Amino acid sequence: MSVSAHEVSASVVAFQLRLYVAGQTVRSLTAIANLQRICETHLAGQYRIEVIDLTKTPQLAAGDQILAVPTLVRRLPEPIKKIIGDLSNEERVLVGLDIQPIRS
Amino acid sequence: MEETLHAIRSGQVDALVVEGNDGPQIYTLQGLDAETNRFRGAILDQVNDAVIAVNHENCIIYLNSAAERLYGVTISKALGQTLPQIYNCRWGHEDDEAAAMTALLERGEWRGENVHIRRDGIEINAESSITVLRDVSGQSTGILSVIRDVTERKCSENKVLVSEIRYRRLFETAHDGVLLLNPATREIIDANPFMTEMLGYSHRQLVGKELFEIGLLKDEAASQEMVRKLSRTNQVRYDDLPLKGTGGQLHEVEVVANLYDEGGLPVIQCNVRDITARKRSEEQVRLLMAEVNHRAKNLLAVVLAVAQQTAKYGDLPSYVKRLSDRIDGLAAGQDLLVRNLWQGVEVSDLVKAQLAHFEDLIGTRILMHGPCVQLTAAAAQGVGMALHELATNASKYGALSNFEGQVHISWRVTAAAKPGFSMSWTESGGPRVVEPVRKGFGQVIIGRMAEASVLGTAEIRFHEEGLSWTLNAAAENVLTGRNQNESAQGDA
Amino acid sequence: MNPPKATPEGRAWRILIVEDEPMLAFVLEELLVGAGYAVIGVATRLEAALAIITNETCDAAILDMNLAGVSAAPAASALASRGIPFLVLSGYSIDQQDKAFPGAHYLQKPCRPESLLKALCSIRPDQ
Repeated sequence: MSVSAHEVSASVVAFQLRLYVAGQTVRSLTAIANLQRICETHLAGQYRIEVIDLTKTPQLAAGDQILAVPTLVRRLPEPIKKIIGDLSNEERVLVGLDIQPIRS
Repeated sequence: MEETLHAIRSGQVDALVVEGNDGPQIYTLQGLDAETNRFRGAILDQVNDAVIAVNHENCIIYLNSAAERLYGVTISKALGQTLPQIYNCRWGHEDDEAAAMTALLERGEWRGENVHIRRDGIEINAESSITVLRDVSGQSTGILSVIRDVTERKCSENKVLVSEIRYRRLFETAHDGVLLLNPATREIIDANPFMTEMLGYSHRQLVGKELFEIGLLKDEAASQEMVRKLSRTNQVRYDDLPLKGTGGQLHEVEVVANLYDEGGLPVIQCNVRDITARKRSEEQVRLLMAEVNHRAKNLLAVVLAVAQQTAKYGDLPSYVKRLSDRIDGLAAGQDLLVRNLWQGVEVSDLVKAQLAHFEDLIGTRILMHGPCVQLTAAAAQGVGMALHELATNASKYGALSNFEGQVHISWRVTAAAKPGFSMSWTESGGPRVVEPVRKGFGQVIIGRMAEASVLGTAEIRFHEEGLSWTLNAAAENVLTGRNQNESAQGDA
Repeated sequence: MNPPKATPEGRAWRILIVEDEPMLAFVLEELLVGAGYAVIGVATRLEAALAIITNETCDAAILDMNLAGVSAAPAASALASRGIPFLVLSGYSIDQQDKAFPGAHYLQKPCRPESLLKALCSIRPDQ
């Protein structure tokens, strides 16, 4: 179920992110793509992403109290933070996840 | 929850998780299956925004309780009706409606503002978010509108706008100069038209300058001092500041500077009043008062002199009578001068005023002949006093002391390279005249005093048939400028 | 008022009267002559006053400050430059006085004869 961008163990990475999606809907696919791009740009080597498809495992929604999809949850570092939507606003995502943007 | 609703409204979400009896269930927002609708009903009823869904025939298939309240309808009546049966739209610009249709067709959604007019005529400023509903195959099945009532916000926006227009107009049309300054930089940030006109600087030239740069304060230190004072007292006032415009014209101004808070930001407002005209009129009044004082004192000095001289020449029992007569004459002359704003006196008016006691005889026993000319104030006083003395004398001893005597008074302007003014008083038909042995003050008045007042010569002759008096002077010393060249002769 | 003593040369003090009001000029003249002074001229206008100051010899002058609307200041300057003492008669109040008569001895109109004679005495060069 989990997709990890890098072969880094969960105990080491600073950012543990979980993205809840609903199958192949437009926003879900957009959210996955956006998240991967943002993480590669600003968190290279420091993150792990889990994508959870709620159409297949709706019961997983309970753990993070998910109401709307897509929703991104930052599991680590604490505290837990949520961002609802397809993550197309990069700035909002960075602010929501407390990530200092890397300027090229 | 607010965040979730916002995400739904703004189209960021396309699936929802609802806790059911069997645990969480996922509803995608694509398509209009019964489950989704049920879910929407549950969620959307909690929303403050009105939500209305219509099918492809524009019939209402869903509306939430906020929509019922907003449009004043009930679900039972509204379902199945078309939107125009609930409300009509009015668009801000005629192109807006077409643009909304295009957006719905091309992108499947539109967001914007327009006015919804309810069936009962109430108007609602609506901020709508409209999405095309599609079934699983992607076919359009209708549209979903989320409508927020922004009437109140619009109202207050409108109030702010009206207020802005009103106070802007005050600023633009004020007859005081108004300057707004940034206290931190002390630079002008705005100036009204009156200010730019007063100084001759354009608005652009004024903005960014400090007060001392436009000559309002003498130097930078004065500017700093003003801001320092303002921060302590909130108001600083300057009377009588000289202010030079670009054209070099000097204004005297009064400046009141206030420190205000504009939504957390300090601003200095300077009201600059042009008091040049007020100062000028104060100066005129001051000069006028000085002149009045001077003339009054001069007249008192004359009265004192007349009193002394009158006492010197006559007997004591008749003193009060003689002095009163002379003061009457002075008063009559004074009236005439004031009536003519001290500019000069018509000769015929002067004669009538000094002979006011003999009004009934004018035209019968007192005959006047002469052109319409004006004597200067100084000449009028001297000639007036002489005429008064002559009349008093005639009524005591001369042509006006019996019932048949006559007095001819005539004056003329002689046409010559240097025009002259000549006036005569000729008595006839009175008692036989005997030249007095002793000269009285009256003779001084009609003699050397009259001469001095016209810078001319006076001649008195005691003919047996009556007294005659002639006065000759250069017209330029006697007449006001406007009639020196007048040569027309006529009966006055 | 006692008649003034004669000048060191043994003649009467010669006084110039500059006054635009004929009545006042006449009264002044009578007063001065009566007090033993010689009036060498009565000027009612500034030009006449300047002409007398330039061409005649006078020992003192009495000036009206305002001659038919014209300031008598030039006459005051002419007198001052010749060292001739003078009195200024004025209808203006003290605070309205013309600044063009520096150091002048002012008398307010209307003025009592004895005050005028006293003032004239006080400015005579033999005092």
